[in-house]
Amino acid sequence: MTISLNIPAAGTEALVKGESLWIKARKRFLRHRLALIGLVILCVMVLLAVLAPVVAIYSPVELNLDAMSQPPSTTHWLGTDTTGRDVWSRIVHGGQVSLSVGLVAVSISTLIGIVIGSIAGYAGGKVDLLLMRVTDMVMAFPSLVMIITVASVLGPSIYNTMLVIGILTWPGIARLVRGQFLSFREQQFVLAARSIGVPPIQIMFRHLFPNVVGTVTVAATFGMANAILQEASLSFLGLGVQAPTPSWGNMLRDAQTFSILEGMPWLWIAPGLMIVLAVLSINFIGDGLRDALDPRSIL
Amino acid sequence: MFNYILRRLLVSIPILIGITVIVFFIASQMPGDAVLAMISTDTPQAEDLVKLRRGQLGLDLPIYEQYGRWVGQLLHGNLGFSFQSGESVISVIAARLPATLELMGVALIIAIILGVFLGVVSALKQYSWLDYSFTFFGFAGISIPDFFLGMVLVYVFSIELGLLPSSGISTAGNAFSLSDNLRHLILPAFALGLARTASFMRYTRASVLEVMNNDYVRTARAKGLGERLVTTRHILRNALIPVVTVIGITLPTLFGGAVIIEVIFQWAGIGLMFINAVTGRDSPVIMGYVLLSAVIVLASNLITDIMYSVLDPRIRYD
Repeated sequence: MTISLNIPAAGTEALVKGESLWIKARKRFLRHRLALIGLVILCVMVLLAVLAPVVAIYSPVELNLDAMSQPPSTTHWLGTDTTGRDVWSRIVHGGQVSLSVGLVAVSISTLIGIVIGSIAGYAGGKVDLLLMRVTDMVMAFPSLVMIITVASVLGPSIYNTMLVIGILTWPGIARLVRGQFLSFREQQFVLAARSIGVPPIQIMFRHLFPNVVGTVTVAATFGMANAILQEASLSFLGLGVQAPTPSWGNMLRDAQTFSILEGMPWLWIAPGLMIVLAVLSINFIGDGLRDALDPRSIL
Repeated sequence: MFNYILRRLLVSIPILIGITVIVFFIASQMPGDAVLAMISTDTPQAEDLVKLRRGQLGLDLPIYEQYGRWVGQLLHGNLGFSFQSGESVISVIAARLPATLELMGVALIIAIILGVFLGVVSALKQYSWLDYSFTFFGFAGISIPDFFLGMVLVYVFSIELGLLPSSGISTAGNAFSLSDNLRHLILPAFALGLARTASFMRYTRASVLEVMNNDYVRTARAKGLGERLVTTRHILRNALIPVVTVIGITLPTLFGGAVIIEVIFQWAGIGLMFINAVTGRDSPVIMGYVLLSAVIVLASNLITDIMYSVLDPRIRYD
């Protein structure tokens, strides 16, 4: 009596299929339906923003006193504001502003977070203690409060908005990278690299950093959603992107008066929904990326 | 335990000092000149007046001396005087703090009750349509800007339906009454609270799911306990402890959100005061507010950590 053992030896299953980690990650991402929908919506938004001069024929900043406060119609799809500017045109051009502020801001904060987090995590000891105290200090301030304060010091402009959000929102990523570095640096591949004389900078970026790329990508995606929200809040308060340049946030600023809120809902509902749609899409993409790249995390 | 609390307190001290340095440095970089804003420069004596006022305010000293003076006063409970009104910052804040605490407190309670409830239901019915729709709602919650949610609530409940007042902490002209105040509170508190519900919901859901797979839950079922008892006594009691930490995480965003909500609803708290000070370049008031918000966040993180260690005896910190 023989029992045929058709079970492959441990470790060979993946080899047979020949799937790399990235292919697996892509499959997991594509299975996340909401993330796919988010990706499609975001792509459409980016496309509209890039093609703004083509898809919106009216100027987003020039006044047209013949067409003031018109409700949506076939000529002005989303109506016009109190100075006759086409709302659709302002939304599309505002998308350029809001999306690029979000992207640049999150790039700044991710870069700072990675640098501080990897130095703290790799060096450990006193350097780590010092950098983490600094991180604690920055984290103690409610981020929006600090963003408003620093923005008022630097003066409101689109570049300052990017800068302020970027330099005040890095602690989250710094802590994340530090934690991962602390746990990875004790592992044998790091010891091996160190023992053959690889310089610390190279160990950090060639050996340790690839291990945190997934986690950082996920955090940066959620960070971008947040940066867009913060830009919107800042511009809403009049401390971010300045008129006449449209951004989704400052379009809602004009609608704070009761007459507009009540009588011209097209002026504030459309930009508001655009913010929600963009942020929601990015959050869904972030959730999909987490499933794909960082399956161990629970939240 | 005592050692843990002491250590946490000691660690907070350098952070607190760092915070005062940061706040002072930023405020000293404020553009615009409060003195010039107060004194008309048309009169011939203007130059002397400006100099005099600068001397009175200590603005002509080197920056580290100004910092020293400021901290010295701080230790005496003096946050300086508003450039705009001349009132002491501490009394302006004290007068307006209750309104903000009322708004933030009620919003936090709404977020906790709703969030924990939805999270528990979501976890117990994992992968049901309820779970999916709550999860979607949670994502929507973290994606809506506070001011948009506020405007939608005003549009629906006070403009279209005419049910609730849309601004102020009480009806102007009337004597202050609690019921009137609470009616004014409903919309801003929900606008602020609903968006924070999502974090409590997501965390509660994850925590309940984690506890549900523990051996002691299986044991409880195996020995024949009813499902209701297993859920309330064994799962929820353990799962809800870590949710306390979410309060600490939520607080900074609650502060930022309160600023926006107070502006929209003209809720006369310290958030509205802060924005008015930012517009008026009133740096003592800005400093006072930023310092206060950082100290409150620091203190509440400390308190939630301590509460967590008290509530969960399994956690040992030494």
